Amino acid sequence: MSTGFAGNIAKAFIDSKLTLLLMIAFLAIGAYGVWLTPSEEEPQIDVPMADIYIGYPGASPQEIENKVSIPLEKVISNISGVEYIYSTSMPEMAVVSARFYVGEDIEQSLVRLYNEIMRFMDTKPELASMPLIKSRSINDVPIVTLTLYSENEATNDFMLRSVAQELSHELTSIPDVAEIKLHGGRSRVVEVILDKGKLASYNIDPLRIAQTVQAANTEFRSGSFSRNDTEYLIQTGSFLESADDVAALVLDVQNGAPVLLSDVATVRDGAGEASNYATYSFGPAAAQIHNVAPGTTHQAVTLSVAKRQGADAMTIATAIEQMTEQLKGTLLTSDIEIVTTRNYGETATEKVSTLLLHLLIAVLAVTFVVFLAMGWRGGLVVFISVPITFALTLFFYYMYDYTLNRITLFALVFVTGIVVDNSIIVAENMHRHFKMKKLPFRQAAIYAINEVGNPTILATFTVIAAVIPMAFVSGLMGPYMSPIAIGATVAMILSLIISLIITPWLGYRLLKEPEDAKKGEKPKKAYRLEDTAIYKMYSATMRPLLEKVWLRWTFLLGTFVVLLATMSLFYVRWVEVKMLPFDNKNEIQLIIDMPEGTTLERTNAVAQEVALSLLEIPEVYDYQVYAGTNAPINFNGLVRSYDMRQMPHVADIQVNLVDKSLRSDQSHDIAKRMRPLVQEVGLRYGANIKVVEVPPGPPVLSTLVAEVYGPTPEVQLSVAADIRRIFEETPGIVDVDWMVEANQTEFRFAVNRQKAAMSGVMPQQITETIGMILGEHPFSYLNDESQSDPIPMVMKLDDASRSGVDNLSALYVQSRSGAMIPAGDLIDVRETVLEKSIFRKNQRRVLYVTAEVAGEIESPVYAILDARDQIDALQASGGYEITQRFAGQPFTSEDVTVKWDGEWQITLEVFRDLGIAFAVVLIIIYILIVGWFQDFGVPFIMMIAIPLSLIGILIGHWVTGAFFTATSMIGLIALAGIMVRNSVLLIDFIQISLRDGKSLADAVIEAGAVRTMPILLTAGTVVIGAIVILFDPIFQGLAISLMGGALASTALTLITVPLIYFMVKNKK
Amino acid sequence: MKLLIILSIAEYADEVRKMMSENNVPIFSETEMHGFRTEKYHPDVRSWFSQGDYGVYSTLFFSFQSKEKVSHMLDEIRAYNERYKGDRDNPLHAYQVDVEAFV
Repeated sequence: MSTGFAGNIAKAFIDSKLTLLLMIAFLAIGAYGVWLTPSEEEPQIDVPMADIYIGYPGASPQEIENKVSIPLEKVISNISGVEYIYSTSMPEMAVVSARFYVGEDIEQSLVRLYNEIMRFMDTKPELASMPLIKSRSINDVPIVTLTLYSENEATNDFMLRSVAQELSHELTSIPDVAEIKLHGGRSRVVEVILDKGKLASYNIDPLRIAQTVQAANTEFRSGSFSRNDTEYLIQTGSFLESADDVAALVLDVQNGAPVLLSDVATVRDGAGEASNYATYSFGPAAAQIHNVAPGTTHQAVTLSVAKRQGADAMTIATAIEQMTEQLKGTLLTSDIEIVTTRNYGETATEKVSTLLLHLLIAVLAVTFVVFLAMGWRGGLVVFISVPITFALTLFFYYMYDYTLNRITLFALVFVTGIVVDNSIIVAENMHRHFKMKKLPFRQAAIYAINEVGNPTILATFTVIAAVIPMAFVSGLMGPYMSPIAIGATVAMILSLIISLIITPWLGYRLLKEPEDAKKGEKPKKAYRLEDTAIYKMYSATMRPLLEKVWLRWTFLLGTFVVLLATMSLFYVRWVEVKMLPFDNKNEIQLIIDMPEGTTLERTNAVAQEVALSLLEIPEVYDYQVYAGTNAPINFNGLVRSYDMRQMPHVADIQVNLVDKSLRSDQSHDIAKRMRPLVQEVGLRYGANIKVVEVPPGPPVLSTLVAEVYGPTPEVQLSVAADIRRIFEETPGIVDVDWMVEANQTEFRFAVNRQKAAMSGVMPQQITETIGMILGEHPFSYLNDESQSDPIPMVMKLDDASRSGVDNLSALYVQSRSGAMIPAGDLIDVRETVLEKSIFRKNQRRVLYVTAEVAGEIESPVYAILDARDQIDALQASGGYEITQRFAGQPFTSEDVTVKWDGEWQITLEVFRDLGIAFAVVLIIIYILIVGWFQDFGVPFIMMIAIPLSLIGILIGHWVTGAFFTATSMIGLIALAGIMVRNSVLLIDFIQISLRDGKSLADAVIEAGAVRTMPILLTAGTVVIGAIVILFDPIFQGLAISLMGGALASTALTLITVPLIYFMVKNKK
Repeated sequence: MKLLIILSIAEYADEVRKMMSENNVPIFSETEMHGFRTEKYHPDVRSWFSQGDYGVYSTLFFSFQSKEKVSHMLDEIRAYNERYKGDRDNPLHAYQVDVEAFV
């Protein structure tokens, strides 16, 4: 028995009852895998990130930078695995962020980080606070947000917030719910509103009140005693439990009468002063459904719910829905409305089921192609084999801890056309042998499998070699690429195994030639290759080329010229390069920045005004305005640190669009329409408004980021201002902003030490008093056992006397002698400009100029190309030269450097890594072919097919007007494998014919004619399989690449490769 | 004394063995064969990949028996082929050969 490896496997399974059981088992574990694997929208990205906050009271940004930021940066840069260190030195506070390389282990990284920071502790300035380390991860992104509002004006935001608080306690009990945050609404505060006049007349100062309250508000276990063999515990003191307790405190006894706190101040328990505003409004679409006027606005509170890693978003979303439904009537009274303003569980499930549907359609379409070529039996064999392959791949995902997301499922859609190939080859060959009846039935089956076994294995490895290098794409794009490579590879290997185990079993039963066909008309015309249509066509094309030298040179040169011409489509920008196109999402965010120093109330008013312009867009379902706080972040916001937007001058608007099935425009087009509308309003009020879309791939600080490095801050600032101007003037660049704060007036209350000492007042008394009253620092907490959070007590003057420096400085402090001295007499008020924050990246001072691209230019690549020359023409003050860098940090800050970052950085990384991957692919393919043909020269002829696919790919992109994206590049790489496989088939056959003694020309033509059918069938399945993804906004590029590339290079391969082979061999 | 030779493709070897024991052939030998049909063989150009040979795996049985026993076996095999006619492509082949002398 001289059966090969493939034949032996087939022999074991072709007739075995086990095979059927295996099939059922494989399908079952596949279904089990799909059921168990959590579905998500975004792939899991492990990027350990942490922010370190250090406070340093009284320090200026410059001081913070030198004493805290720089030493801390040095410490962090010691940690292996840290890619970027960002720091912001603000007045009194430093935020240092460490970002590790993508894929670093989160726990290990954080341990290393804590460890290094501990080493920093002994060198940190005495006054600096303990570092607060907050790690960030993709799981911080809330998957569900619920917005509560009430149409009843009496139910105000304060009440909504307390309901929301209760609701959040209920929701936390749902398994796998991680963090719940509240946005908007005032919380409960005990306010002690001081009467300045009475304080003065009773000789009591605010500090005295604070001390009295703090002294009264203690309770602790003080010990125990034993009596009669029993131990009794003692609890001393009592907490203040209500506002009345606070009001009844005795501050002093004067003339025999007690002075109560209520004598000098009003104590109020209730909503504190608003630190942020949140509202819910109906957009045109929601208004129509609810029958209210568009733009109807209610005060609101939003709960955002995050999940634990690896949990299924849909399960949690359903549980939350159930919970709120049950709480209706009890906690959620009838006048409180609750709207789900975000449900990533639903979007993820929708995405996953759409992709699974696409997968099914692709399998059906491919089956149809096989049906056309091989009849229904062949189609059936393929139709059964492919789902088993996918079922096993899905189970692999489950075992490998992959989630079902758009990337992992996309990998399956992508390989559908290729995966069927193995089954087709095996089934086709069995079919052919059964028809020939040269061998006994079972032996024919095994022979057929054995015959194609080794070449099939080789072909599979060629295609795997083409995709696997994608697994090594580094950076943030890595988690988007490697599941495709790994998923596709696993599917290919499994399909190979299936085609050797299951397909023979199926073919053995389904492909049997019916008996009557044999008995029927016997004198069938003998098959002659020369009579077939394909041979005639192929011969008519090839013969002249083989015979006339000038003709074949013309043909080859012509092909080359066409290749160059299509490549120039890049240069003339008829085909534009972009990393990933925008996805069609149901949400858009507006980020509103007022100049620093704007009051919360004004910010809110402007945000509401901006929001009104949204009503002109009919696709807007509803929107929430968050002023002074951030909207629930999404993945984009996580990377851009939008959760730190807690200042009075900022506002976010979360816009929800009607579902994508109900609108014709993609979200990107709506964003483009929205931008001029909202920015027109923003311009009127001096607000910088950005329209932020959810990016399809990894988020970045901004699409276009110019980092300006320079020797001095002044030079940096002037260059940054110039770049900002260039951006603003370039059409297609929008949402221009920079990280330079506007001037904000700051009053410095300097304590006159001499005067204070002479009056018997400690300077600390003054700073504490002012901090307590102006800063509203809580001085104690009310202890209400029924509440989950302690209720802060704050002290304030009545509102009229709080604004204005003069009024404030009229506060009294008590001297040691007991005299009341106006604080204003002891301090010198100085008006200055608040010092600006200092930004550093990887230990260098940097200024960021950010922008988005939309409209005329859609890709940052061209924005950079457009702006580049103008920046080169810039003259930096002080005669510094401006250099531009496209990768890597500048080596020194001696000169002015502009480093391009943002999406460009990722684009560069991705195309660079894919380019390297492609080079590795070529080498691996070369090695595989040398191994197969034992010839060093032949592989080059075969690999000529690879660049030919570019012709089809580029023309395809040009005709459809699509971007050449990273997915297009994946298509190009995968095609390389398929095209080489086709060339292998062709040249292999030429060599066989030559061995049979045919002339070179005849062998070439015969090979082309014989192998055209299988090559076309492969191209057909690839093209048909790709049609499904043609309408997906993100993966469109891949579909175009696969279709255009497969068509063009198949057609050209069939002629070019044999022709060149002929020319090379003919000379010898 | 005659020599009985039966040639069967590998798939039906078991049935031949059964037939032998049912018909009380007391002793027989068998050997695996790999046979080729050259006159029917010409390479098929529609193949996707390289061709090899078209050998058929068969089993050759032989046994020295009395004349009656051998002719009975031939009848059995004739009947067997008749039974599967039209159903199977590969009938059994059986031969009766004279044994001229033996010691």
